[in-house]
Amino acid sequence: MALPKRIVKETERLMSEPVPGISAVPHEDNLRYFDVEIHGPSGSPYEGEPPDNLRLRAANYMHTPFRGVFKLELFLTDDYPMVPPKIRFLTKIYHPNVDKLGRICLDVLKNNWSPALQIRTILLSIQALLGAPNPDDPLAADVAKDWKEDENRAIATAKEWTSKYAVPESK
Amino acid sequence: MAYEGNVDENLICPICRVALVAPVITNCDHVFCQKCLVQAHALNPVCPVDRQPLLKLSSETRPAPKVVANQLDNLTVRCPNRPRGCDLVVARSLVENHVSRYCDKTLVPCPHPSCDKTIARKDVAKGCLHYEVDCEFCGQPVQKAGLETHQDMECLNRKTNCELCDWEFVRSKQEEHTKECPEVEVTCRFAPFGCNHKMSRRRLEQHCAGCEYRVVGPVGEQLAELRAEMTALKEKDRLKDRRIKFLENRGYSAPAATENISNMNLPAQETAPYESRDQYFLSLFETMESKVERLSSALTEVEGRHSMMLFNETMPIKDQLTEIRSTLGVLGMHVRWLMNFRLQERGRVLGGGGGGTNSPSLPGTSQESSSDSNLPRRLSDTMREHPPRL
Repeated sequence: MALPKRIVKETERLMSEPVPGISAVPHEDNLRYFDVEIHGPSGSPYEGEPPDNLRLRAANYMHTPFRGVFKLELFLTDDYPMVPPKIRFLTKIYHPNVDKLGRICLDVLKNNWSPALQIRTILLSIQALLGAPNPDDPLAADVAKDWKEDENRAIATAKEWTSKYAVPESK
Repeated sequence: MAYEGNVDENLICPICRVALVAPVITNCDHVFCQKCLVQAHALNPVCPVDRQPLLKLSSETRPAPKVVANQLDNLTVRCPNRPRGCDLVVARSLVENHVSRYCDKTLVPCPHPSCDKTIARKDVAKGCLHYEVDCEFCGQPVQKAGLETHQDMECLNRKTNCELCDWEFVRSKQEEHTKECPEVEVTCRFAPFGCNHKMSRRRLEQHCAGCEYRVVGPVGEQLAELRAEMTALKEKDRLKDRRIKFLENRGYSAPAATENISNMNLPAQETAPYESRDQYFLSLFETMESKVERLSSALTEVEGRHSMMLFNETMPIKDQLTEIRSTLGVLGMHVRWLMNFRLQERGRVLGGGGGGTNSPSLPGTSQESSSDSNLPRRLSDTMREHPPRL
């Protein structure tokens, strides 16, 4: 099946004007399948460790911000854009709205999807979700419980997981 | 449909992301293609942009204002038959008319009643062209209907014009032309020294004359030359080293006699340098072998010399030994004789009736008495009777 014009245009634009802190690259053999990387928003527990001097220098040297980097996979079904894209976290993350399998609880990915939304807007929503966890609409019940009982400890755990799992691959 | 140039963001449907087709506007003032909105509405009856409920499309949407439609009609598009050779660019409102009525390249059903293929409109009058002919330029079999396209676009032996400089050349020579086309983009000659500029080949000279890296250029060139020279010298040095080592190894062959042999055996060794390491090691091994040979021959020589010397030394000793032995025999004879003499004398004294004088017999007297007639029978007899106390 030929790739719809819309997907071609979206991909082109993602490449030519990437959203800061977000990258989405389609697979060569399947242009509907994207490898996504989202940087944890600054000020959130998913930002990653504040880099010490040495790391900062290394990060500057490699031109990569030293941050929590979360990998996701994104798949555009044949009915896109009439149905939302399928998105899943590949990196382990301690977040009340993301379950163990990486599935995301986000209204725009479910009922509130609109064909006027795009890949870039969805990824921005996910980045925003990292900055504002919503334990009242949980997907991972245990995490949401921890979050409600002792937010500071939950944030500490989230930070710990971020520095453990969301490390950028050294190139 | 390919639009010429960029389309204004405001004329793009938020759903299909291309210029609106048959635009409709909702009561919440959002514009979509009619088709897209119908599709989206079937899945979720809200406005795709702001999620305002759209209960019934017919009552809550209306065609977009004329000004929008006009702007859309004015967008220029390329004729969809461009791949077949129509280069027309025309307003979107006119393109449909052009394709369906006028474009020569539009495919229409083949006029032949039994042929179910399609053919470009301009060839309809020629009858069915769906048979194979050979291209007159490259000899490949091509369908008559596609011959022209083949010759224009694919045939390698057909002349074509360079897209950049209008130079005419045979298509198979494309690569050669690219190498010299004055319009092809090339990098600055000083690129190895850091200049990132790119320009057409025509402008290269001009750029190079004013390139900031021009100052570095000659120095860099010299540097490159020096570097090349250095590598060459290094290589030479390595070969010399090998040769020296080889000669050093040969220097050990001191004995003149063996040297001749080694020269005879290993004439090839004279021809250094060696191309490969293996060869070098092989030659080394050969040298070693010849050295061992020389050593073993020297060893035999030394052995022979030593045995000769030993023999020479032992000969006089042997002679002396025989001499000594004979002297010893003579001495023993003398002693026995003397002993015999004494015995006889003693016997005579005893026989002579108690010779009390028993004076020590002097040699002189004994010799006198030896002349006596009754001297014993033989020497050995007395020996048997009185073994000498030696």
